[in-house]
Amino acid sequence: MADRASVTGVADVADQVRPPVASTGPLGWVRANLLDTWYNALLTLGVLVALYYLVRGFGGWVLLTAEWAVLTQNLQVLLVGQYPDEEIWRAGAVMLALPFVLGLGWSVWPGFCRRLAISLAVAAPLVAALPVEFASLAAGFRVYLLLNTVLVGAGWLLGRSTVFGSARSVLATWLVLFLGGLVFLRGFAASEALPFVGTKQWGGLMVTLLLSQAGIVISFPLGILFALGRRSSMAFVRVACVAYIEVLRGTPILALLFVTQVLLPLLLPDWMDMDRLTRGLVALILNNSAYMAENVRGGLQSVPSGQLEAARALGMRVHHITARIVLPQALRNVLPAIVGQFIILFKDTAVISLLGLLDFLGTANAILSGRQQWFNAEIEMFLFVAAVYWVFTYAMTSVSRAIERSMSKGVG
Amino acid sequence: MPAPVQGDLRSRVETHSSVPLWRNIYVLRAVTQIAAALLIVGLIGFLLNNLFVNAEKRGVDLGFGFLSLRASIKISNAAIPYSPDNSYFYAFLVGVVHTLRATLLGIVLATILGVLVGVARLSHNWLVQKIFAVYIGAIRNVPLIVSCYFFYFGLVLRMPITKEAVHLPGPIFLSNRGVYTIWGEPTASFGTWLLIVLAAVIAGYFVRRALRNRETRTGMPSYPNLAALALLAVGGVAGWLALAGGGEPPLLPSIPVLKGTNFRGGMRMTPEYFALVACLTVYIATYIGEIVRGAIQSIPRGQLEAARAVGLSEIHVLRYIVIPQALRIIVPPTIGQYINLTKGSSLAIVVGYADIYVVTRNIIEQSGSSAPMFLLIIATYLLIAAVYSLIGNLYNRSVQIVER
Repeated sequence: MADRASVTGVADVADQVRPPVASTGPLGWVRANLLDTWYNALLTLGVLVALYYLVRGFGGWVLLTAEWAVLTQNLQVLLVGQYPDEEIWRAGAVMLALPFVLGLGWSVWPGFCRRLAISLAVAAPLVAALPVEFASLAAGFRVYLLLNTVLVGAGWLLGRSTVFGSARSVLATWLVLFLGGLVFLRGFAASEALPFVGTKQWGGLMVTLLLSQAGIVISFPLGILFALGRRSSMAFVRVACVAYIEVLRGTPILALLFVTQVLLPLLLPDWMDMDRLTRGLVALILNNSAYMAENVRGGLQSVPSGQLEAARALGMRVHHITARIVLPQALRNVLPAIVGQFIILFKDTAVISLLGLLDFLGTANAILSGRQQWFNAEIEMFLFVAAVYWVFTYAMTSVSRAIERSMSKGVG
Repeated sequence: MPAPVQGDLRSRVETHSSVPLWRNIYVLRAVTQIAAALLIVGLIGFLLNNLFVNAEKRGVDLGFGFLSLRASIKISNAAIPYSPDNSYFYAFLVGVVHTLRATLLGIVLATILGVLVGVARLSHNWLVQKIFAVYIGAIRNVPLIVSCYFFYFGLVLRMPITKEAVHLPGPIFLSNRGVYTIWGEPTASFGTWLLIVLAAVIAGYFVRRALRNRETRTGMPSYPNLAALALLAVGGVAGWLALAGGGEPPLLPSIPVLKGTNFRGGMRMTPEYFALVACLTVYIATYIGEIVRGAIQSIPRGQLEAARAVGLSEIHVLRYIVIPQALRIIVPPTIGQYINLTKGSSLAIVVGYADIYVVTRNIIEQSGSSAPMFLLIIATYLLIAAVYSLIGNLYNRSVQIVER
């Protein structure tokens, strides 16, 4: 009834209807996203109050209460462990391979690595400019940080202007620098220039990064093998691969680490005995290759059977079909999952500290329990450790996300 | 390319029948399979042989006989009665119970928190959405073990002493001796009350089925779930009141009270148990939250619009459109997360909670029998994972689409 009455006079309606509430501009955004209903407004208010206290409390603690000396005093140990002082340049040189390869990667896959490379190139000088004393590392450390920026740039330039700028050569460079780095770090017993430094003296972030890279290098191809084996038509191979994958996937990494520490010396003859760090690596590889196999299997299943049939019809050989038709497509399809597995591997390396090995977390623990001076610095130390792990994981996650995005757009 | 001539084709077919032995696909396959089998059997044999030789050399016992010997290891705060006089196997079982106790509680809490996180990530409130995104990003990108260290050494062990315990409503007291909460102390009539509740559950089941049948038959709304719940509530409350009137109520509240330097009464969660469950919950909830968010987002908008257009209320849209479809996507990966949580619980050693792994390690140190204990611990974890998968798959079947 009311409707019909109001139709009679248009002017009346115009008087009654108020102008619409602004829905654009900053004010409109706030209204739409923070205050659209009364309970959302209440929620916003509550969250803001909580945030205020959180930021004030935490910020005050970081700037005033916290004792960051535990980090600045022990920075060298946190980075490279007990690697001897006079040989430390070797550890530094090996770790510079990462920014260089990242720079190369930037030139080849700008969509995936550009942001990461630029972030590192910008962040390194910023850290170098921090007004804190790096104790034993002194001025050399600031120069070293600047070298990171230089090497990212060098890698990028080299990749853009020379034959190094292809996907294959980036991977090859990384592999060569990594394996060469291991030899370089270890040195030779008889050498004057490169005296032997055993893995017992390796430690800190360096070990975490080396372990993760070694884990990736070995467990990735193994995972592919087990995935192919699981889909093999040969019953014996298939059953063996299924058993391997299922048992190792179901066992916690910590139990596996313990098994390899205690059982490997019993399972292998004396001449195959390895140091504790390598045994830890074996556990990481056993666990991650099983997971990797499942990821790759997903990729294998996503390749249409027509591709296989076409390849067979053309008379390609079995191993050519696998290597040139099936695997490239399969791996590309599950690339984000594979990078995700690399991230899990990186996070899993922290568990080896529980066996007394001195990776990044293990070194942090050793510092905390080593001297009475640091007994109460747990919060500062573990916050720093968490932050460092976070930075690396976040970097890998961002690459993985970029890959995923480009895939959903259909760009190779 | 010129088309093959008839004769050409025939000659090819003929050559096919005379493929030499070393290029015959069947022979090749058989040879590869035998070679692979030999390789695998050889590898296993090599490892086992080494194991026996080395075990002999070092005087390590490989049998399971030691499991019945006196354990003589200490387990503090055992959940089931335990003394060092019990056998190794019983000590191992205590570890299993501890792991199950922590993981089951963790699973329940992580599911609740995870659903909350998933829904909060979809909130219309920008601030809430972002805060939970930060929470997920911060927790997921840090190894669980680092979070455990930080939480236990940085926060739990630094909670105030019992005299200055943090008093939360409930009452819940947080102190460095553990978390104390109110708890029900069962009395003599508790068993009777449980029987009454059980009867109400059974009655509720049949009433629900009858009403449901009626609803499908006649189309009249009969509220089967509501009726069953009401029956359960009435049965529970009436039974309680009757028993309380006839003597003492089935449960007496036991409130933690500070006596001297410690709390008496109530339920105590040791700092270790509390820290482990809290860390697992907070970590796994981020994964469950993302699963829930993805599942809800995967429901086409058109479905929601159509449901609203035919006049379903918001609750009904949730109950009949969103939840059934989201569950289908949520259940399988969530089971995977439960298994992850169980495996993550082996980090109990960080906080000093005596789970399977810690007990196993102590047993190995005490008895020297490493290989049998490893088999036992791996088998136990696989068994737990298999049980979760089984239960999960059964539940999954009930939420999947029934295809005709």
